[in-house]
Amino acid sequence: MASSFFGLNVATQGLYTAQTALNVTGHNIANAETEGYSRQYVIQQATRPLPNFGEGMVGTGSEITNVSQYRSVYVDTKYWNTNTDLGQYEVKAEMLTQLESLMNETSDTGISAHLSDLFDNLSTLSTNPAEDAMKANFTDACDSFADYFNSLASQLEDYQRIANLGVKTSVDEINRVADQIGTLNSQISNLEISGASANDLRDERAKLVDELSAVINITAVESTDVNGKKSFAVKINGQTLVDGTNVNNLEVRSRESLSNPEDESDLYDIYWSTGQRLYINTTSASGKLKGYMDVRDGNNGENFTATATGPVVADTLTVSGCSKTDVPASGTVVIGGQKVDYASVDYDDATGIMTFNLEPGQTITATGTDVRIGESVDFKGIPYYTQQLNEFVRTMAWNFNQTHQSGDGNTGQELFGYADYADYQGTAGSLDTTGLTTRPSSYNEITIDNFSFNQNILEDYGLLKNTVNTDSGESASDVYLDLMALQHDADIFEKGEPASFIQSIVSELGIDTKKADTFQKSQDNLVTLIRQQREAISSVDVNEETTDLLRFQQAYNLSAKMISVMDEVYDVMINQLVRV
Amino acid sequence: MRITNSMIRNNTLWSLNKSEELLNTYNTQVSTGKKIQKPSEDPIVAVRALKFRSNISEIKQYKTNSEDADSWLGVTEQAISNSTDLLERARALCVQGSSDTYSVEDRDSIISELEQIKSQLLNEGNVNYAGRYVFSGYKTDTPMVYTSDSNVPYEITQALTDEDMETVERLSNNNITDVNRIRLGYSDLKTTDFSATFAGLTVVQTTSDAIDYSTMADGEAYFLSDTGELVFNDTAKAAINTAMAAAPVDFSYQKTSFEIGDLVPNNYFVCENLNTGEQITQIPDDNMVYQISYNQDIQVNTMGNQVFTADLARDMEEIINAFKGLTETSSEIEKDMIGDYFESMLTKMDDHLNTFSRSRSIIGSKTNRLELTINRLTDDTTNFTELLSLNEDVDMTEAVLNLSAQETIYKAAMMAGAQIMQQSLLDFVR
Repeated sequence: MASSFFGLNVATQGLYTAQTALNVTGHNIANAETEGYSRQYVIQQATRPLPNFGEGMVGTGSEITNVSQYRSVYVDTKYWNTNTDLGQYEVKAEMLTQLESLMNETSDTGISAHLSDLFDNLSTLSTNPAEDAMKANFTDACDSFADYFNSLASQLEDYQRIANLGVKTSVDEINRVADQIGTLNSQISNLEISGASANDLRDERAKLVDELSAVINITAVESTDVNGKKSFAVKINGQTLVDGTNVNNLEVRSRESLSNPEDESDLYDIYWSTGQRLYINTTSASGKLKGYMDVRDGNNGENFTATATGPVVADTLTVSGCSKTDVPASGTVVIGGQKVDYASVDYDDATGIMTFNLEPGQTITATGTDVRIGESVDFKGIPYYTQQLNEFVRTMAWNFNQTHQSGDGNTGQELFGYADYADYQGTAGSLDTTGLTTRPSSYNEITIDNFSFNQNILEDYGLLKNTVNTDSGESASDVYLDLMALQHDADIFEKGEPASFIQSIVSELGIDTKKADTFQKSQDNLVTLIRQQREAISSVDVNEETTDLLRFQQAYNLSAKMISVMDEVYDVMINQLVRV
Repeated sequence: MRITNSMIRNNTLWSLNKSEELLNTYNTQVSTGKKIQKPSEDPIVAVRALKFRSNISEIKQYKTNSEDADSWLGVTEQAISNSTDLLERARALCVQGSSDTYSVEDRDSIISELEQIKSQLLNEGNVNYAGRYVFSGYKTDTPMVYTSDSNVPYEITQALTDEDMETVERLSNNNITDVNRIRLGYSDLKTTDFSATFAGLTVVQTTSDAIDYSTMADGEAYFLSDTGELVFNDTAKAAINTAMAAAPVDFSYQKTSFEIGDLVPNNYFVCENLNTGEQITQIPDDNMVYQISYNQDIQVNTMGNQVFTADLARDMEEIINAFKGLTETSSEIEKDMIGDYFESMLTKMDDHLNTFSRSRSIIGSKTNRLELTINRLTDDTTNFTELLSLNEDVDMTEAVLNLSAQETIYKAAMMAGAQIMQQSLLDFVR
């Protein structure tokens, strides 16, 4: 025979079970709007039945064995993978749009407008070469042309620094999130020792991984070891960021030398705290960090490459087959995979040989002959556009100087140079064009940062030469006509006339920005879709919780009724069954 | 698929946001009137816009240049037209001079009229366009003839050929004789500092009063410094003719003072300014070129030394002198000689008139060409502006329609969303 109060116990069990279920439902309702919350549910089981003295088994009530949550690891992983690309294109779209507004084209104040203005003033000058007012117009147009590039340059430098700051902020965020995940990991494993499921902490951890996935491409896996202990690991490119409570932080270090000659100094590279370098310049990397680094370092694969002509002798390295002549004045060169510092570099225009004067005291162990400076980043970022604009001003300066220097019996000065150039008058300076047919490497001194118009001419219009003859009259205009011909010289650039060159830069930038924008939109759609799948599984539905409320309330009421019935039964049993 | 109300809410918000994005785009289009705000919205449209803009700017510049060229040519043509009228009057006076005799008063008035014509004619050569002398080639700061007396000495070198040699009638011992002469660019020259030899002949300086045409020696060339001529006898002429036919022979002389109306040597001859040492090494033939279209230019100037020639100036001078030479005391022989001279002058006048009319027709055809160019440039401007507008401007009707349609959609979405988001099971549970 069962114990007298067996029924009461069963009813009480029912009461407690219903109460717990109600509490969980209450918890769901309270957290209906909590971000990242996965709805929880009780796992209710019947307690072990007892044998009924030969008459089968009788149940002993119910109990809550666990409170679990609806969450799909598969959907989570999909979300993290897709969110990474969204982060990358978001950053790229934003930064490239800013770059576009910097170029300010299709407005009346962009480069194209300044170029048109220059040539228009030149044309007017050619019809009246003697008039001082016309000379003033033309020289002013040239001066503001040069000034415009200077202001472009400082803004591009700012953007590169902003991208650099973006790199640092991203790394800081990665570190912060990694630290938090590590803390949560230890809390979760402590709580789950008893076999319970630390639902809310898991939700928090997943939210952190969401944030992290936007910044960089990660793989997050929870694995179970032989003892049944679970550990959660986050890896970047196969290298461990967080493993259980073990956190490897990242750090940024300033570069000691320039990768591209157009770069700002002290740009960051990323290293693990263990000292190993983290390479973001790979096709598998993604996320906001990659977005910032691509925009900051993107040189369209046009970094300096060459072939060494022989072994290093007396701290001198000679190379030939240079892909370009524009390199940083001092820095690091990589020979056959080994990094070597150099103090200065010379280029011989006639032979095409570049000579690096290395810092003394370095031993060269590499045997390869391939030489490079910096890395090839396959993206058209700020260094690429800076380099294109540099090429533009150098070629314009070279052609204008060449034509003007032939004036007045080859006594004309250079029209354009760089800010500290002191050799306009008199002695042949590094920008002198006499006797040269192709642009010498000394013109690499000119950058959009220091591009400037010969200030001597602004002070003395007599230095502006209108004719190659020494005794023609004041209205001769052959030099000006030759300068005007540059406007339609289709061979001046590989891409054609000056205006076409600028148009092609604008179009490249426009297309890249549009591409980033389009990719961002499509990734956005994908991420939204996956988020919906997540919500379908995990989010709280008011209607469901309402029905659950009703359901568990009923169960509670019935159990309570059961208790009052049992109470009456006991009353009968105790008080009324035996008369005293 | 399980749908929760947070999903419905998020979807509604997402759709509303998309609708707002479109609303924003259309609104910007309507308020700016342009299809794109930045190149990335449509790179092809953006680059075409840049091309059109630079074309339009260039065309406007060409149009300005063409209009400038037209004005320049207009001024030139006016000057030549005036000169033609003056020259025809001078020619008429020559005709008069070659016919009957007339009184002293007639002669005096003719002389003064001719002097006026000569100075006016040469002044037309000094016409200027906004401060620049139109006929002076590149040296637009130098007039064609002196505007005031000048004492700056010049050494002038002329390259003479057999075409410069002519035969004129001179009075010698009361007989009319044919004299071979080469006329130099100026009269009243310095009596010293001239070339010692000329094509192998020794040069002897004398004046037109002192010379006796019948006693000229064979190996000598006579430099008449007052009238600016070189005279030879027949033998000497024969001796040098072949040499001069083969190649021009230089002769240098100096002139120390110039009067108003004298030609400025810089514009006409190979010369050297003896004060400053400035040298003109060849007779100027300057091309002032304006660019009036893509790869098209036009020469706008006319060289004064090819229209208001040195010959013209000297001819006018000689006509006046000839009139002055006709006095009541002139003998019949003299009058005959001068009469013949006027007849020969008529041919020369006709030549000069031809030069003027040729110049005028060249200018006329250039003006025509410019008119056509200006018309075409105006059309081009219109065309390109239209293309630019088609390219980047939005069709206002379409944009406004899109905007209102989008507004309607937006409102409808908000209404539906508001309805759905408010209801739940709780509203119906007792």
